[in-house]
Amino acid sequence: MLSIRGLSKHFYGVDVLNGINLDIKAGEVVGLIGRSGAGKSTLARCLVGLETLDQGEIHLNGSPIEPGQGYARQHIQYLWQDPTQALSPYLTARAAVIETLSGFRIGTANKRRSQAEEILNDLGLDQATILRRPHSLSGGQCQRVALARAVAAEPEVLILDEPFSSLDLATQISTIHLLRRVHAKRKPAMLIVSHDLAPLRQLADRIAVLDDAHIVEDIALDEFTAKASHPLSRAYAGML
Amino acid sequence: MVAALSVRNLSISAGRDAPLLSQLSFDLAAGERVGLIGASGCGKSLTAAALCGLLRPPLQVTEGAVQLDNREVLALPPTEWRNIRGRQIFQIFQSPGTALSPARRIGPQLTETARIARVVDVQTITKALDNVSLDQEVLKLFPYQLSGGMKQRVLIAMALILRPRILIADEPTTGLDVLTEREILAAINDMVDETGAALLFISHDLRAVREVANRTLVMQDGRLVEDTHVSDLDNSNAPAAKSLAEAAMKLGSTC
Amino acid sequence: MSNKSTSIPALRLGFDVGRIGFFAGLMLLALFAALALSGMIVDMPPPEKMDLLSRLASPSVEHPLGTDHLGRDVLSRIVAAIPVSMGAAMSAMAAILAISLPWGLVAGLAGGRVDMVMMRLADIIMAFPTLVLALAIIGFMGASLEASIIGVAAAWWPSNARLVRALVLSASARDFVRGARLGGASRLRIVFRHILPQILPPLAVIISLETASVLLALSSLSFLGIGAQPPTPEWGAMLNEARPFLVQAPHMLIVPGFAVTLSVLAFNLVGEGLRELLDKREPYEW
Repeated sequence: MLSIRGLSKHFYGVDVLNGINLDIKAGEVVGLIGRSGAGKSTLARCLVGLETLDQGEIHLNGSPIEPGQGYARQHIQYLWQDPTQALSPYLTARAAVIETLSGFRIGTANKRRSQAEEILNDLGLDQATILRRPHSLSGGQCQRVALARAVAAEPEVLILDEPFSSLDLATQISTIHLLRRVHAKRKPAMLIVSHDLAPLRQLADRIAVLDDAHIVEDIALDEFTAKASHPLSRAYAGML
Repeated sequence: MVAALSVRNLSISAGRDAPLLSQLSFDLAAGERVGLIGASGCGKSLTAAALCGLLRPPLQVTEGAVQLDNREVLALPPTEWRNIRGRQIFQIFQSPGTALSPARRIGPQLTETARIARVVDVQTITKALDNVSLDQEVLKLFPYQLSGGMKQRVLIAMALILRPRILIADEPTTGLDVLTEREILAAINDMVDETGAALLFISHDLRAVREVANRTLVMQDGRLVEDTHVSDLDNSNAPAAKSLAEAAMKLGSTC
Repeated sequence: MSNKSTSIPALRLGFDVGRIGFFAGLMLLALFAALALSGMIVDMPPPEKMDLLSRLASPSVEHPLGTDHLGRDVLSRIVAAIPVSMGAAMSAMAAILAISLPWGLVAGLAGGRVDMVMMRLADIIMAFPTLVLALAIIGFMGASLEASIIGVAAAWWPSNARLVRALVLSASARDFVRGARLGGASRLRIVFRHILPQILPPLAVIISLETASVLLALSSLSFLGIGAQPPTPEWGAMLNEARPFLVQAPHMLIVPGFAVTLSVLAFNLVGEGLRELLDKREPYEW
């Protein structure tokens, strides 16, 4: 469904990404792991136009797309690593979701408010909370608001950039549950960038390993421990 | 036997508000490795700062005593602390970037450390870098040219040169990717094995603590709520300790 | 939210000073406004009424600030000049903003070639020394207050546009602006709901301070005789008229000079005070 071919990006003469090929099927959850600074976030950002790619093509349902424009702008949604920076300080949580619903013309104008409330409530935010602005919400709550916004767009692909990294263990677990619920209800394909394999074990169908600007391993999760062959994959497998 | 570190009823507050740290008491035996875990804001880093004499106003100790090798240290003047820091007690932080001077290369900074440690053997620096698996080339680089993991290793190398009696590691692997974290934890283990230092490993992640320590303290809202073996945490009476143990277990499973 | 800053004594002092300055400036401006309107309540001789028998008179009960070389009451001329001098400054500022705000917004948001072309045009105009450009326009249109307003606006708008563009560039680089765009917001909505709220507060500071400079520039042009023409009451023009009579009737010079100084001070106080206040607050509090 989402097909990445030959994606390359250089930065001051250094190859950050080199000839990346990756496929994500409809409804599939793919985990992208690798060391810090390997280029995982860069790849995720290229898919939504936050970074420009130097070479390569991205196809959605067979047609080439321009990242961050047109159909792709709605159907490939991105969640920032730091949700507190990704939400406008001027809008309440509910207003932010309504902004997305109106922007993409989802539903009818008079129903959008209740629709937004429903989505936010579904993600565990109560009526009082959704009327607050990001500065009076915790990091975990901001993450839920950002997720609500992304989900409201009814995208085909959800890209999450290190959603677990700045969270303590207990919050990581509730985030995992949250993402499972979102996936079960709306079935978007998901690309989850993470430097830690552990949270992905309960979410991903497939694991891709990024090292030295290339995808060095691309294998189903349940075969990872047994069949992953690249040294980096073995290091990850050894920690499980 | 004299404990390397002895903390009694330590309480810290900032002005007239509620205390940030309340009646903290624990011992660290020579060469012992202990973890300190708790949610963010529970007072872990505050404790570490107090133990190294790094508290600045308006934070102040309102009660209690800290003894390093039976010597009362809280009320010591800054000149005395300068002698203690580095050789008796040394701390590595979450952001090693702030501990290294950005304007000097690594080489001179390690040489300075050796001077403080009154080390004469030139091989010490070379061996320290080998122990943390850093190439000797690192000596010529500036801190900005190193990754987060490499900078932490430089700090561990410093600890190897200083050979302190007590090493405090304050969230040294938070923010590093799991593979690098593993390497840093191994380097810390090696360093403690090599020097026989006592280790206080502070983290919010029980999985990291498990790699380096057998015994752990648990803090919540400025109080010590548990002091037990790492594997006994899920049997603890303190809810904070129990939930931390559960979270670590769930994250390690595949259900 | 403000507890953090007030717990540190030095900052608390700074916070208060900013507030004092801001309100002092506002009060001065209010005072000027009240004075301008006072003609409706208090009986004052008309500013253009000449009484050659009492020319160059010192301050007295009948003429609280004295009379000028044509016997006109100085106080009523000063008051009559308020809407002229300050009104001219504010009109010029409005004209500047009418050009620079859209210019800077479009250049900053469009980027690429459009940005380059627009900024080169602004640079070309900025290359002219400010007053020279104003003088050229006045020369073309003939000396008058209107011409000087247009001249000053034409000379001042490019630097303002650059400032707006810089503010827009940093505002649009914020993650949440990109997030709003990816989240479906239209370009127009982004400008009005996410960018303008960011740039307007610092812009308010700049506007205050620039109004002070513009006021000074317009008064200078009137002083040179190429702005407001007699018998229009205007502080700079009054200063010019006072020049031959400096020794005989110093009040003719002191009073309008004081008025100009005070009004420039007022705008500066408001601008600096706003800057102090805004520095201390979080974005959502604007």
